[in-house]
Amino acid sequence: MVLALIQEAGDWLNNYMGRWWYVDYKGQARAEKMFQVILVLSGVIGWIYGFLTESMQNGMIVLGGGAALSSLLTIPPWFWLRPQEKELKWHEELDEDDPKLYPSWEKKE
Amino acid sequence: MNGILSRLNAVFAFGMWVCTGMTFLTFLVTVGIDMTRPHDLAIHNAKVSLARDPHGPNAKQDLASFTFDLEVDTTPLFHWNNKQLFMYLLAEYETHQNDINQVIVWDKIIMRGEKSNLQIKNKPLKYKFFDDGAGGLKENSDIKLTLYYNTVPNAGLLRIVKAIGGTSLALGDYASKRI
Repeated sequence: MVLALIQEAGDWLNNYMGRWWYVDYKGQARAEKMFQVILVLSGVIGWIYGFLTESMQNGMIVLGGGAALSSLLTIPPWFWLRPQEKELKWHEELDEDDPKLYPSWEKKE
Repeated sequence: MNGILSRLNAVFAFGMWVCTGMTFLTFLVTVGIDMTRPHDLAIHNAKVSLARDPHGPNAKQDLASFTFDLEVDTTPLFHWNNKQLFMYLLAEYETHQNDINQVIVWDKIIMRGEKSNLQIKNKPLKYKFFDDGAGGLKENSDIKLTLYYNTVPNAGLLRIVKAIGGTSLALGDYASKRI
């Protein structure tokens, strides 16, 4: 129920806010690299910390901190996930009644 | 990766992979640790009688009882990948009826952080030491009593370890003569 609502909200955001609320192609690669580096680093540091303090729980807490940090940095569409913003040209808005937009079998009469 | 939910999913999935890797590394580091510990066991007031087990068959069976002193320091066992110890005292002996008899007469759970250096004095048995049938414990001179324990790790093998040491118990005739 809650998950379905979140899904709905996400779809709504992506469909209606996509023009302002987007990350571009290189930004996706950057986001993936960012969370991979942060999570692996926090995992290694957490494991060593857990080893030194003899507590697996401490290591998992550090990993959780890394997960929270990477979520904060890569999940919302921050400006650093839009490196192509300047070079990316959006198409001009199309006229829905333009007959050239539709294939011949869908021609509006 | 172009939507908020797909990025959330990617971060979570990758975080789970890192978590798995950490856990597996922990297992690899701790699996080789030697978990056997020595223990000292002494038996007092051993006697054997003939009694009916209220949860068993109707015929009377041999029932042994004793008290024991146990000294074992399990503190080194609680390394960072061990959260619990289930220790039990096992009596192993041979009778004319069965070659192998194993009876658990006492057990104890030690959680991580609890008192782990045990100095137990004159402890009675927790479970009744019934033999399978009559005549098996009477005048049995070689009942081996040993401490065993399960180590319960966060991640890894659930091992049964036999502690170093133990003692042997010799029982006499029935305590009460009326049979």
